[in-house]
Amino acid sequence: MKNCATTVNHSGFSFNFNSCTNVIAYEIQDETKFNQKSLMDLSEACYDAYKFRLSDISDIFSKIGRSEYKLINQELINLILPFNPLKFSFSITPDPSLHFFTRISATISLFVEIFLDLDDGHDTFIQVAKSNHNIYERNLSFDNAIEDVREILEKEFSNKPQKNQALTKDFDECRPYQIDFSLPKKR
Amino acid sequence: MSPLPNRFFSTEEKVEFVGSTYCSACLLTRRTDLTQVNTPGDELGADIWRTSDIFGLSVNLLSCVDHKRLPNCLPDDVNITPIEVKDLPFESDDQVKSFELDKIECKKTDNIIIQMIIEEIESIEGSFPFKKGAPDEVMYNYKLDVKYIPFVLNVFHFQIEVLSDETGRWGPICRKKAKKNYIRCLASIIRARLLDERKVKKLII
Repeated sequence: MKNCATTVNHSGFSFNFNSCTNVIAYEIQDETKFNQKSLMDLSEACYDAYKFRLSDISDIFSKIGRSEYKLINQELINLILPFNPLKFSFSITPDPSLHFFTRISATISLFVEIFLDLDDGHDTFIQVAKSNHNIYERNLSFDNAIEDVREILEKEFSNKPQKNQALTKDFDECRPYQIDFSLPKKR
Repeated sequence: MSPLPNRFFSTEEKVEFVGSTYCSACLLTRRTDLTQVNTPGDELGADIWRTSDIFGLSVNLLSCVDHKRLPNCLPDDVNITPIEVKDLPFESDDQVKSFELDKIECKKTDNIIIQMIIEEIESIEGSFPFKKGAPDEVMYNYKLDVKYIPFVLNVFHFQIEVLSDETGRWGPICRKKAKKNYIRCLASIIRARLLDERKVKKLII
């Protein structure tokens, strides 16, 4: 089977050339160091640093807080990961409430707060801010807000070039230069 | 234990000086019970302000670098607290006579101190919902206000109030109302802004 793909390094950038389709593409590198595992690890490190805020109140709050954290943490990480978040943070206040904070880009942040209330039920507050202005703000469960937040983020990042997409499209539109390998005609 | 330093005691002259000297670029400091200001994710931890703290937060003034320094005011003064004495808002020099100032002792702790700039705190304003989702939902406005409220034993004492227009005129939100859902929602909005805009920093001494 013919291998069409070769990688060429030029000026410090990596170009993928497909000789079968005559397409050259520049692979955009991930803008973040985060992956699923590193986000989970960082989140756990944050939880460990602040879990005393819950245990100082009671064992019940410790257990309930941990359970709420786990419910939201995985969903939240799955939600933000495709948008290459710059920062991820979690902390707990003695109120007690759980706080997830993530900077999706330099201007867009997502804030999720869960106030733990054993009597009236937990209260969740979700906010997306763009350049210090709220573009989404709701008091409802994370499950019910997750699709709204995903839609907002997708809309905000819709102009961002996807991997291999922008340049490949341009190169597809170019007509490949035809090289004539036949021997020159003798006069 | 040691005697509370003289620089903390209010007099009409000192109160007049502090009140007319501070500017919007001056710093406010607060003693915390934090073990760390930033989380392992290198963002502010939400526990810098508990929900109840947000309404009527006590802070101390620390003059800015461009400004004339307040008399004998030190960055870690906020870690010095008088003991076994009930402090009161300062009213006049006559009031101070009822305090036996030379017998007041204090303790100094080593707590982490946070700092914020007056104008950055006062830039926090916006709107918040009452009866959210209900047909008669109303939006009220809020803003943060830094007030000089000297105490007899702390001439540098300031307070950050959250003002709302829910009664038809601007007035402070009482700390006791923080348990109400719509006020808790307001606290969340303010806290989100503090975190997002990184309006609080650790004071490096």
